[in-house]
Amino acid sequence: MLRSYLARFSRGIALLALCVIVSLATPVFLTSDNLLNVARQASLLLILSTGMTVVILVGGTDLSIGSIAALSSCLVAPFFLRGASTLQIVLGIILGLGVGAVLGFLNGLMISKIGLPPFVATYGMNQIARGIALAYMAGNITYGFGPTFRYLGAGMLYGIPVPVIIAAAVFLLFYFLLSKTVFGRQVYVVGARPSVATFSGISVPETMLKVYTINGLVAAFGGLVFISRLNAAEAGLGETFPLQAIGAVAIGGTSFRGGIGGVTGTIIGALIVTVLTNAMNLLGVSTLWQTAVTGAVIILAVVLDQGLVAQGVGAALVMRRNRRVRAEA
Amino acid sequence: MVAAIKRVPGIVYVLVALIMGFGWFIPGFFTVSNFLSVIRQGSVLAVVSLGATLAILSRGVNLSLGGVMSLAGVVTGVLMHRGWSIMAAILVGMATATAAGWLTGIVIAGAGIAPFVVTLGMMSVGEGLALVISGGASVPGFSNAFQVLGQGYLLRVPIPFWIAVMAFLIVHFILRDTQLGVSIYAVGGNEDAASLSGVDVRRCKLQIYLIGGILAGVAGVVLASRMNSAHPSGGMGFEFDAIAATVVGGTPMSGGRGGVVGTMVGAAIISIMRNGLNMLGLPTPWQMTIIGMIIIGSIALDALKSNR
Repeated sequence: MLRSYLARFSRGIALLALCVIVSLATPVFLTSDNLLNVARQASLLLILSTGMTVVILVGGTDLSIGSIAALSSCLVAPFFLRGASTLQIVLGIILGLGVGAVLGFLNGLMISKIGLPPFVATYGMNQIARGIALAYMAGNITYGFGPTFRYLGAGMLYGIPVPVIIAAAVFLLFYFLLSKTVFGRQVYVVGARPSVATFSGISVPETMLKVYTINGLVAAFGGLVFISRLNAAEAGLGETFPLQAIGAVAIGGTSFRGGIGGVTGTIIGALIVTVLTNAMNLLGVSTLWQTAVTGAVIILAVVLDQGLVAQGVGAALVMRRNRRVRAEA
Repeated sequence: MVAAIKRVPGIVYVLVALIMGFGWFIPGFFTVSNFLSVIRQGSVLAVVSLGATLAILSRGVNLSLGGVMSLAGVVTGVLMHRGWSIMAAILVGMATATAAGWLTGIVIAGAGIAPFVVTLGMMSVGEGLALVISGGASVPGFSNAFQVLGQGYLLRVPIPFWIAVMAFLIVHFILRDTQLGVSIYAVGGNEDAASLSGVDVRRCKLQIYLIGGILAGVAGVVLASRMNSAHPSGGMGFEFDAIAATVVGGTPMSGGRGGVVGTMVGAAIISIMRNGLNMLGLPTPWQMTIIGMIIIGSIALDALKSNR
């Protein structure tokens, strides 16, 4: 009884423990300013990693979200400059999302129709989109957006940062999509057993196509929120997006074999990553450590996830026995 | 005669066509100095690609090679700057890479987790530690004795080439004539069948990623010596070039078939492509785009072929 509860809420408990430790280590952590800051930072990661969760649920991965975010937001950034009308801004946002969806669709085509391994297809897309963004911007930065567009990433509504509200909306949408719709069921079946999905009349390529298109759209949306907060768009933005999003999903307990997990775990994963980064900043740990710590936490999370410490010890024992048997033979 | 020509795999024609094409369009392409510089650059990729091929043959993948390369280079560089002898610094750099490979292998083999996630995590651990150790900046300027490793000549051929040849021969020997080699192909072909036939799958996987770490270490040290500088992101992207070299060289991502001979041709193709695009004076963003397309294209061809 207790064990099953522990297993179910282990990530939440880990997050809570982390927060307690950090607040003991530095009193700044629990100030409302800092918590708002954490929420604001977590919101972007949460938006990106909800889309990534769906991709990983179908057994895929997407390394191109950073470049898709960069290319789409660089292309439409001029629409948002100071003095832009609301219509112009809406048009820009729709266009930006469209670019993201098209790039995601291309990812889906390569993966489902040609049969490329997802990480190869999306890595190639990452190179291509980044190359085009760099060539298009030619080293320039588009900056100085109007207040209406800035509201998206930097505004406040009833004392809550707008991006946090946006992230919550995105989360609820995906939660609904995954748990209450036919599409959601299809995602889980395709991820767990593609052959079963096919026999049940679900089109695996079509599901994949939808999933990667949605993720391209989410990536573009994340890019828009990001440039709105930064008040500037440049071709190099978002290089760390894929690793961070994949990390949050992995820490959130969605399995890379597909079909197991969901967006609820991903929220906690995203919060753990953000709180860790925030704690390192507050404690004056050099930012250089952040890459290494993120990587280590990813590995640790997937290892713990399968209750694998015990299994790993078991494996080591088996290997030792095998070696002994070989030596005797 | 015709039969002999038919036996030559398609990629060799691609390689020859590529060399002819670039030679036709680029004036300075067919010079000895350019040829030597392609060899010097290609050798580093060749060494890493051997590690990538081992993982792919077993139906795995190793994304940590580039990060571990950076780490090995930076560790070696920083130690030499602290006054360590060249030999000791290289040994510690190599040991670091070996430890990283061993750790990757332990997690993959012991815990049975998908190599993609583990090596992705290790990629950022390697790169991150390289950043921390180097303080985020490149570590430039080494003694002449160290630079010989990447820039020197032996019998008029660049030393990195000899290192790559040695690494190739060793890995080729492992694949063809050892129990580990047989196990790698068996695991890649059908892991369950291999396990049931008495192959120690875990041990096999552990060794694959351990050897990968060692190869990444060699490549990282040679790269630092060639550039006369160890950069914390110096190895970035090598893991993907290495995967591309493997697949272009005829080892499919689905594992179990292929080998390192093709990978060497693949590494040559990718190095010549980078060199040629560079000499054409294409801006870096367009080079990125084109190489991305070529990687996708070549792997797509392989996927379409195996679909049939």
